[in-house]
Amino acid sequence: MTLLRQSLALSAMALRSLPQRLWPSLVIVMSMGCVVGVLLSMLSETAGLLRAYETGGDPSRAVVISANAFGTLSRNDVATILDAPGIARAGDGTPVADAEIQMWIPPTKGYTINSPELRGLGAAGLALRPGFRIVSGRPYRPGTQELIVGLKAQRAFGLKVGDRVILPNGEWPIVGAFSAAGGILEGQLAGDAETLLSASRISSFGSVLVQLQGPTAFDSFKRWLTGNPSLGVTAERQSDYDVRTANRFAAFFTKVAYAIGIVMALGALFGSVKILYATVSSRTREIGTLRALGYAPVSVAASVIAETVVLALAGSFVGAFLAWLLFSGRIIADNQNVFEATMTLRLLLLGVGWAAGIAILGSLAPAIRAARLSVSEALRTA
Amino acid sequence: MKLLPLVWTALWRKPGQTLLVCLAVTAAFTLFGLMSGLHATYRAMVDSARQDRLEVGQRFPIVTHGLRMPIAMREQIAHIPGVSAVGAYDVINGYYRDPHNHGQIMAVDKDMRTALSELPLSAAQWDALLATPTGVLVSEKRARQWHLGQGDTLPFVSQSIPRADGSSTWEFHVLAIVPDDPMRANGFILGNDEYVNHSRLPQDQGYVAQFRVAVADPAQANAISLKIDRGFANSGTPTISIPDKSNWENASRWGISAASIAWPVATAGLFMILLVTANAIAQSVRERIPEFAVLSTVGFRHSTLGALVVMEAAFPCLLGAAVGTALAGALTLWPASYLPADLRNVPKPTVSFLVLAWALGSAAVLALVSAALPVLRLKRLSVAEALAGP
Repeated sequence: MTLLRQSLALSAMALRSLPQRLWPSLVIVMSMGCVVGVLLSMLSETAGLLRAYETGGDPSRAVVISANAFGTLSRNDVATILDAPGIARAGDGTPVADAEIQMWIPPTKGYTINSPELRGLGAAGLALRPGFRIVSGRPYRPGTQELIVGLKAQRAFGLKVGDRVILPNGEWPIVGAFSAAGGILEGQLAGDAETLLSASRISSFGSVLVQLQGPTAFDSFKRWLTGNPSLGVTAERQSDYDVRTANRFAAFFTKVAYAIGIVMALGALFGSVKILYATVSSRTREIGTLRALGYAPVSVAASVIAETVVLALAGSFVGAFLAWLLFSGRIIADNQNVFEATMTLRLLLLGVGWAAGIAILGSLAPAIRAARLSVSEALRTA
Repeated sequence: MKLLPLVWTALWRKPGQTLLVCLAVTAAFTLFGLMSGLHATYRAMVDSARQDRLEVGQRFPIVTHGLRMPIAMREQIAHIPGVSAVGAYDVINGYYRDPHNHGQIMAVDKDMRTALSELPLSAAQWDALLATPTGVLVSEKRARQWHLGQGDTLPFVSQSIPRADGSSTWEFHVLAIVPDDPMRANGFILGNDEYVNHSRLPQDQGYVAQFRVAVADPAQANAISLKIDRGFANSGTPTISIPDKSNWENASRWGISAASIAWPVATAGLFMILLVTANAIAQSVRERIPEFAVLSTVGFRHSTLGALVVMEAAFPCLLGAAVGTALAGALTLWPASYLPADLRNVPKPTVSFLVLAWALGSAAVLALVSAALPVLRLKRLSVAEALAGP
């Protein structure tokens, strides 16, 4: 108990004397800020991607796709799928489900590959996406070659209501803009699936999105589909499907981010150890006096660690703030997805954890040096 | 030269702290080496990508439908003036033995021999490939990763192209191990498209994924690509034709890619280390003010004192830059099979002498900036006060 009280008192004292060591302290703060800032700006990209995918995921909806990687669903397949048990029905008895296709849109200018994807939706498609809202213009009319553009696609590619997009069978006008609760659809264009099929002279769909009667209806729904030998399809809960798809894109970049974070952390670690040794040696007389007054070596060590951790935490907030300021909300368009970099609480905590970890590792050796200072020698040093 | 012993003594005054600064700088320059090496790799890929080759694909590809170009289009493209060869190929995505051994096989036809002439293959190897239906040529890198040798069987499991016999396994035979192509960071496997095409479902036969077009005059590449696209604009398969070079430029600019973060990360690392080195040299000078005062008294000029400080700051910077770059170079030699699966696809950073030169140059700037304030401080040094002691 005494030890704890002593440690707290010494830590408080050390922190109060920080202004005397302003520059070395700032260096620790800023280098932690650099590590955390770099790590979090990279991870805010993958966090944004994951969030965009997770937004639409609902365990009571299911995605049905062909069991082959590049397999399609014919009209017959779709009709059979809609007969499966467990699908919710609308008031008029029609199944709440939608057959869709997704198309890569070619670049409008030059050879720039970045361009949005177009999702062809059926009549129930928009109803299956809660949070979907037209924010300007109007929805596309079924049966006509019209498009609506998601808000993020609008920002990323500069597409406006009234613009025309070159698609199969001519130019399609954009007649409205929509939001979709920040989900991945918001980075895409949407149009009528049947019109898109006939314009592309194809007759099969890519996937079917289904509203189930409840999350528990999924297992029997899937069993029925996969047990049907004429179908050759597989089903997945939309929530699982979205997370799996998102991770397929994010896993690689996350590893790169951590690898870079580790090398930067090593740099900050060595830098901090150097500064802390210098700090301890500049405080030799003060520490000797404290020891002579009866403060335990453990408390002295604890105060060195506590001081470093406080500096590191300040640094992690600086880094997280900078990452938020510079990156959060920035639109990122990779070859398939459009999303916003997002700073999350989880990332902030991760940054704080990294900084605290580096601080504790870095301050251990200097803290032990401080604790083992011989009182008589320390007091003799001038 | 006569200053060196003085600098040396200053560095060894607190060897532990000098070592720590060196280590911190080393870490930063390891990152710098890897990042600028990565940048150099992308740059080299774009630079060596060919302007006289066009990739012709579907203009409106449906994500789930895969790429499907009727092979008959080849004749129409070949008739466009300025086109010297039209190769066709298909891509089988799948894995060997374990789903983690993911890869792809590029199944080529006979005209790819001209259209893909940059591959380091001998005439005999092309002959063998085109004459053997189930034959594949495996590049050295891929062969090492998958432990394949000449004469081995390569069962390749793929869902991407359904086979007529209902099986998902393609049985290939390794004809030869061939040299790698710098443009294919992960190695490559070439197969025979005639065989692949004949093994597909009847309704899928007669299609390929893309065409690769050789253009006689690189200056005409853009014009010919527009001509191809205009010609097919109202056909059942509208095309998009992109020169190889433009494709690579796009690939290195993608939103969430290792290439786009290389410079910002390297800069952040250097900034971090600037703070550490600046602090170290400032502290060292502060602690030795009386020493500098003595040097000043015995006739050292301000400029000489300044040079002393810069040299003292430069030592850990240059040493760390050299060791860090060397370490980055050593890390790129790390066999890809020991990397996490996702990281194997990053092109290998090219840690060249140019990267080393950049690193040393940055280290010199780092040293100058770090030493700037302490040098100014020495310039204003009042000898009398400094000698009077604290």
